[in-house]
Amino acid sequence: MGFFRKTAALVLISLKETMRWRIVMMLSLLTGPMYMIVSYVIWAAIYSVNTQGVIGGYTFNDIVTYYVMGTLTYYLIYDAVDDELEEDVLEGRLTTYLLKPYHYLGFHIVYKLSHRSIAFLIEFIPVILIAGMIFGFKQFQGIHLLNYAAAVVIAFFTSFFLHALIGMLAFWFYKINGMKWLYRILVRLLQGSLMPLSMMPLLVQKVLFFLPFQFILFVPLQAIKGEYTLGGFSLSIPQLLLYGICQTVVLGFITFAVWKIAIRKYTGAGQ
Amino acid sequence: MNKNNITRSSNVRSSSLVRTPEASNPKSRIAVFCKYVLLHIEVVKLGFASRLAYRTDFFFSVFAFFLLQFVGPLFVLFVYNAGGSFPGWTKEQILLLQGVTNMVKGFSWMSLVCILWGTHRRVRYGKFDLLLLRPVNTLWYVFMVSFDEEDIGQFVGGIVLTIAALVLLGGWNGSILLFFAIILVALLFFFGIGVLLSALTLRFVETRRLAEILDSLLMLSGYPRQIYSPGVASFFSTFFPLFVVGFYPASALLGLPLNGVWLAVGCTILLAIISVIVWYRALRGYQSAGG
Repeated sequence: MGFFRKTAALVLISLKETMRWRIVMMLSLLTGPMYMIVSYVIWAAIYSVNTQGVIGGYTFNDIVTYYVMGTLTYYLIYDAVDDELEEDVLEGRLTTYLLKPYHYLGFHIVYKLSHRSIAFLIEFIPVILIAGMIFGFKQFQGIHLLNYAAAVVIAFFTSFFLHALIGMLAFWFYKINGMKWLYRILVRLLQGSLMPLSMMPLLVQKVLFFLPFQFILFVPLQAIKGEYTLGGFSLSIPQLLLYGICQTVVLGFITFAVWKIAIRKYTGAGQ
Repeated sequence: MNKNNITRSSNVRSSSLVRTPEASNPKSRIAVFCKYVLLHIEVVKLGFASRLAYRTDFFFSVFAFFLLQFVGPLFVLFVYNAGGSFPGWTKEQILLLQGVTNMVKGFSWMSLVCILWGTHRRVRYGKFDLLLLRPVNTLWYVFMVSFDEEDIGQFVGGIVLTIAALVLLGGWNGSILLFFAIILVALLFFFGIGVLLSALTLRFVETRRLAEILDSLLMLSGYPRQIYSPGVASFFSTFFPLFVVGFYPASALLGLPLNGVWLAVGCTILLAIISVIVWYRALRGYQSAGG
């Protein structure tokens, strides 16, 4: 069966499977705006006593845009391959996937693509409209859309590879709930979802510049602005995207290499 | 059925206590209560034993939740480092507020709000019926079996943060008795929330997203009441008394004014009563999906 026919079949299966969760996904219409409103209230209080109107290089409007676009970007890059991999290894279901004529990780990339495509329609677009009604559509003015789209593609794959690497720990440790939680807590800090990375101490910024986590959220949100500075390093957006592509390609090679090592550990013992 | 005999109702959807002739005696009621407490401890011990089957994973989880407590304070430190601040509160006071919030949240997630996940897991896979067959109060039993061992990291992290903040502040100026009294009210608040969410799960099953909404709202409890508009502050002191979680206990410890605390306490008690009533109504309407 040709590669494109196989991929098309996988996309169709994934889309049908994703539609099972459409009601749960629609609840993002509540959770997303709630997070944006809470962040807005907290930052409004912080800026209310700031006489200069600028904190860490961000005005209040910049920060609101950061959190609104951050929440929206999350819908496009959300990943659960670590959960799936852990369950498949623990319950022995991975065996059935290994017998199929496609790579397990390749299947999950296609699955994520389908899942996020539905999320774009059910979550991303409606929440943009809700956010616009709450905070004003001026938040979306001056957005460099092409830069953002390119950065989101990099974020999509970076997030996937990192989650897959964490998920592969299941081959050695079986139950990795704790490790997944630890990763999610650390990455929340390192990817810039808690606050812009450029607000952190300079030494921390310098370290983060060389790590791939910034490409998950911080870089797409800088690509929107059309400018990027971190740890004293200033890059143009094309340079930043090229740097991101290089990091992602290296991460991809590492992921598939670790997969080859990990699969030799797999015994297929289910519960 | 003779309401005076010791057998349970044959209707498994009823959730009454085991009724004995002695149960009307106050001393016996105390004895029954003590038995429930001992049963709770035993079930929790079993939960720990079961969780320790995967020790490495358990310790990683506890460590992860412990670290999670420092994310909020790190945010505050970075904000102050970048030139921001919260009106009327120093960095150390905010850290105390967040430490108290995390400590209360940690304990509540471990033993109270966990009922949401315990109910969801069992209702979704048809195992909730097994709880109804037990000869004990169903609501209390759901609390017992839902105990979340991993959140002990959150609880300990909150305690460490609170102590660290008190050390930085050079001790407390307020009333420690009032502090603990409001902490008890905060636990009652989370009891009410947990039971309410459990009731919604019995009714609607898929309620995981409500926990995310709750998590977002709880972010507000880590900051002083003064930063919010009067309308928002009133709402979170009455209809959804969030400020009992962190702001009022921290203010009691710091010797700051406790405006609106008694209204918040009253609303919390009301919330707890209403949530229990709603839960039993939801249980009456519960329809099992089978195994």
